[in-house]
Amino acid sequence: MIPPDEMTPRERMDAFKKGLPIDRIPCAPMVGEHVTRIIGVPVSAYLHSVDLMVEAQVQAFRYYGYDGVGLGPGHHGLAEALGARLHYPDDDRPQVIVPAISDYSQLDDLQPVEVDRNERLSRYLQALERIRDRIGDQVKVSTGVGGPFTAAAFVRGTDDFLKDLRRNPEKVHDLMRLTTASILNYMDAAYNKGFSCSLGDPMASSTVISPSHFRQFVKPYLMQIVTWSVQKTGSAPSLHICGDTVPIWADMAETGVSSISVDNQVDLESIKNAIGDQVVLKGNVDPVAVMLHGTPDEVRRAGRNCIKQAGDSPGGFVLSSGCTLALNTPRGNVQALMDAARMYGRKM
Amino acid sequence: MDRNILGRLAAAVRDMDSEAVVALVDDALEIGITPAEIIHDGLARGMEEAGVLFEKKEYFIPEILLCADAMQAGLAVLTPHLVHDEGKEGTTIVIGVVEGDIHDIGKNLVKMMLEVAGYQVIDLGRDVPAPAFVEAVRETQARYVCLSTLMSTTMQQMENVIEQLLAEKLPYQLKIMVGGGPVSQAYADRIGASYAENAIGAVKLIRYLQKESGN
Repeated sequence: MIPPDEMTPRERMDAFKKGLPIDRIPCAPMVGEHVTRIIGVPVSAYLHSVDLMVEAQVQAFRYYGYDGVGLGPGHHGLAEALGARLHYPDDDRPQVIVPAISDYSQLDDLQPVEVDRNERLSRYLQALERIRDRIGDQVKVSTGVGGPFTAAAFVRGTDDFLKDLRRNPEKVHDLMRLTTASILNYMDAAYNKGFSCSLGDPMASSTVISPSHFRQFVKPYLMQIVTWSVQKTGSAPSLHICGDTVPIWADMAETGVSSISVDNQVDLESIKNAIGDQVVLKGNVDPVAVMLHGTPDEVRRAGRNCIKQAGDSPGGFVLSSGCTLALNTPRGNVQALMDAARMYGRKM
Repeated sequence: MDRNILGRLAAAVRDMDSEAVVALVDDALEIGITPAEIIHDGLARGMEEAGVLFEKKEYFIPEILLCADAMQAGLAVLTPHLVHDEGKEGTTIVIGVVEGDIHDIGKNLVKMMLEVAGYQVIDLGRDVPAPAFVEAVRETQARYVCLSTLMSTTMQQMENVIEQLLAEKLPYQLKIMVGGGPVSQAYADRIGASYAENAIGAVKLIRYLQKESGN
């Protein structure tokens, strides 16, 4: 027996943010382009059509009823806006095939992204407005963009960019200033239309770069974004970093972000004890082994386990997947994650 | 003869110092050390030391990429001195990133570590359709295939490749190894492959598989 919700997602998240009582632990799986499965359209068609984005997002929300609807240029959109060439497979997520620059002499030609001059970025904002018109009374609609480090890696080309951390640190900083300025422009455009923006910076993971490189090349720029956001909008963005983040938890919290979302390889109880009093924690059911390949029963158990570990985190906890869901994640499994929040996340 | 030069060469690879590597390889050749020894006791040992630092989380991906560059710089000096196939007589391995995915940093690291360990690696590149793996195995009679992907969406393509490979009638048992971001031991078990967590693990895994099958 699954207890029915007593609040709408909007009411729940408004109360959650203010620290007021809520009926159950919020649940917001990172559905990404999985929403295309709900209306049965290929990913590339979805990414090129405001109508399809709106329809997929609205229908997926109606189907699952999760506690936040998010749509944005993600990791690739900014790099593309800065001149990287993407490949859009018919029914898969885009990939960078040619970086924006092949050497740093070309960096001088690049200017921070201007959203209203960029068709694709404008398209996301148009879609967001229409989604909000349709379901904004029931759920908070927001946007998300790739973090400055991942965007920089895509602008330069990942291999070279990673080597440049040691070979060419000054140029890396130049590039980080460019992507940071671009992100601020996007966040500003989104905020002017009333949307908050989350950040995802997977390349900054300790699976990829050392904690000292994180402190040197990532943290200052995240702090700059957070400071801007707090001054301009009154609240800080949330941050997702995949893979191993254990050695940089304290640094991530120190950037001032409001919420930290972690990969399934992270132990929620440990992060709760480390920084749970400073930020909202979000996570972290395995998107592949459990969400994609598991049974609904296994999803519910995994969700229950997350809640057991971090449901009492002092800064608050949101049940989610550890990373973006695979396109063909079974619907019943996404539903099962929602059910786990309803069954095991009741506030006593 | 200054055998210690190979120790310094290994250290230069580990320390990401391409210039020193080139100079030391030249010196080593000059004093009559064979290319095979230079690879095995110098360059490869340096990569192994880098691998140890990676496992200890002192090195990360940028450092491994730069160590690899240093090693490649040394190999480039050696190439004209290598007798045909010298140091590359090992077992043949076919490697590639499965169709739909163009992320190949991980695959390149695995390839390099395998080559340094003495294997003959046939690199099919990235975004490789399943029939190309079958074709390569048929042509080279490779007993080992490594499949890589970074994305959960293209992971299912691994099952497709394995299915097509197993449909091929081969006079020996093909061993398939998988790796990459979303891939897990559990997934590998389910699709009938062996799993390596990273490039260092891939070398260990293939050595284990070879021992197990006796070839």
